[in-house]
Amino acid sequence: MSLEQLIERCKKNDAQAQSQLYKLYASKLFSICLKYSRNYAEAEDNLQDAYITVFKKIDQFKNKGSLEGWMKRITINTALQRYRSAGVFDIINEDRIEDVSVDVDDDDISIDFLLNIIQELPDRYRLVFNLYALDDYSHKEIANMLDISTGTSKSNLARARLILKDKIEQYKAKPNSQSL
Amino acid sequence: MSEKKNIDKLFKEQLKDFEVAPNDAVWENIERELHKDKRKRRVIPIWWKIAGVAAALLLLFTVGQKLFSPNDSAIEQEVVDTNKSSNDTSNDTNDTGNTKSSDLNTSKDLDDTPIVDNHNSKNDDHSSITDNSNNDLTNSEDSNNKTTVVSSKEKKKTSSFKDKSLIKNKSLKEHAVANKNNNQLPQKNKTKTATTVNTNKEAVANTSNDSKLNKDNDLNPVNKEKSEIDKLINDIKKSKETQVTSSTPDKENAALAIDTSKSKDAIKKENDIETAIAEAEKNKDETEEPEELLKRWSVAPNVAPVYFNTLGKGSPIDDQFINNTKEGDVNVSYGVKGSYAINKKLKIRAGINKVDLGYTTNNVVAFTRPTSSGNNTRQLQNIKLHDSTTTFISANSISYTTGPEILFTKEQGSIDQQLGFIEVPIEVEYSLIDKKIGLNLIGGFSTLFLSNNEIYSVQNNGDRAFLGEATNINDMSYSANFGIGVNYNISKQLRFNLEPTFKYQINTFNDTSGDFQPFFIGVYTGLSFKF
Repeated sequence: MSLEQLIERCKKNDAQAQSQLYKLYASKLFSICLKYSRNYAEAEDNLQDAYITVFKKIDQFKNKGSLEGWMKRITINTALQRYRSAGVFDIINEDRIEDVSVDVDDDDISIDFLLNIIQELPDRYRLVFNLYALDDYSHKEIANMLDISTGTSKSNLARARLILKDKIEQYKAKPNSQSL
Repeated sequence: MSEKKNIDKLFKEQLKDFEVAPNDAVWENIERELHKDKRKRRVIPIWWKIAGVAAALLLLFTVGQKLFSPNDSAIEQEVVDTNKSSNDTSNDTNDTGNTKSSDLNTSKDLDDTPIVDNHNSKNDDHSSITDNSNNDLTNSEDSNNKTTVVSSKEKKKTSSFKDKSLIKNKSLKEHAVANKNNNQLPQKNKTKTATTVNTNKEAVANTSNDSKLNKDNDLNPVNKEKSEIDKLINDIKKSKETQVTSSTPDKENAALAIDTSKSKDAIKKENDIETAIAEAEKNKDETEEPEELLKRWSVAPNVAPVYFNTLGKGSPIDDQFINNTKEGDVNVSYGVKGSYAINKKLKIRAGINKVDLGYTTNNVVAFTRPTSSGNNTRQLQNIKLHDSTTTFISANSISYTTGPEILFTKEQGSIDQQLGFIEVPIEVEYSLIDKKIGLNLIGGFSTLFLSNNEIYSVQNNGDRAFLGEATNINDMSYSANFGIGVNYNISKQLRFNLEPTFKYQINTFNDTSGDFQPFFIGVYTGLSFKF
């Protein structure tokens, strides 16, 4: 079955097609959820909400652009929505720092560890870092999405980088913690 | 190995191909969420249909009631019209009579009797006249004015006949009260005021002449109100008696003459009343019967939501589903029927309907078995499967310990059996109430010819798959029908019908498991045209 057919069937609420579509993208989208969430459980909730939105709004998908990209955006938006409604964006109010480039040693760092330290970031830092560094959104777009200024977005990104760098360096100093 | 690298790049590269399969529970939750939604959506339409039928019924009764009462008054008005027509005709003669009487009254009292005769003969003529009315309000008003003049003149006369005048006044009062009431009625129809004016005039005319009371009686039969007639007959008798007693000795002869003539008149009047009633009834019968006879035939297209279910516990599909819960579907039946009225009460009717029925057997586990596994799994006994690789098991018959858990969480669904029939009903309709809104009882039977026979597998999430057809449905079956019909006559030719009907199916399945007694209920709605 082609993707178009699958989409058509999903539009008709065909359960089998929905199941197939889920399986097709679950892993990819779940990884996004994991990066944008505080923990695994939250990521699961996020994925669930994202898919329900996908199935409910698949009617609105007009085959412009890739389905994967569309689903990714929904997934990211779902994640952002979670924090938007929780009001976390208003809490952080700190002095801005300059956008700095941070370099670290490129060692064999486990993905699990990287994911872990991303999840440990404060919510807004995590979101900005994800959007900018991993999903290629511009500061302007991020500012719009999170309803913050581009300056705040840049500042948050810089702080996120510094925190991550710290964590990586700490991690390297203590190789025992590799079990993470 | 240790080489400085941009942190963004590091993360991006590392996480580029990062994929983690989520827990199966996530999909289950999503599915449940989607399914929950579907359940809701499935339930709502049924509720809407039921609510719709209820609302239609309610609307019918409320609208019917509203339309019923004004129409009732319309009938009354018709009666009033006939009164008026006769009154009006008598009116003219009364005018002349009154003017005459007023002239005569001034001359001689004894001249009353000839006038009485005059009036009576005229009144008799009027009772025979049925139509031709002078609706001229001004005309009647004029006559009213005249009559008031008459009454004033009358007063002088009444002084000489004291006892008589007492009776007269009494009657005058009564009429005056009646007139007052009439005038107080909010209906400002020309016709109505005309009639009230007429009665006014009549009242005054009565005072001029006792025998005019009789005349009044003569008019009343047209009202076809026996009670009033009886009352007036009594009045006449009473007045006669009082007249006899009240007549003074010196004028005894004259009075006696008057009395005898009056009594004659009274007797005559009584006879007239009876004949008038008889004639009126005769006329009524004559006018109504031909209409009824003309419209014996009627044709009625109708449509109905039909709900299918079973009275007993059983399954026409397979033994194992006997205990599974079954849900009837609400479908639509439509068709046309013709009826012939044997008499006013009884109608025979026949028709042809397309009826779709369906029901769902819940808690069925469906799974596709690998083709290599052979035929060790049993097939459903009464279904010729379209695709034989799928196996169905009642969820009730497998325990959670023996089957894989996935069966209970994922593939549990239902079997949906859809039947279509061409229905040929032959029914008798007995009318209980035959008015603007009628009520009747319907009984009969239908012959059902199988036209559609499909079985679907329905997954919990709403996915439907065609399974095949049932092998145990008879091509021809019957149903016993009972219904109550409510109808509303929109016009003489057009009638709105609403017939909730229960149809108990007989011999539909030739081999059912358990006690499957199918029936369906339909609320047949339609318009019938008489011709």
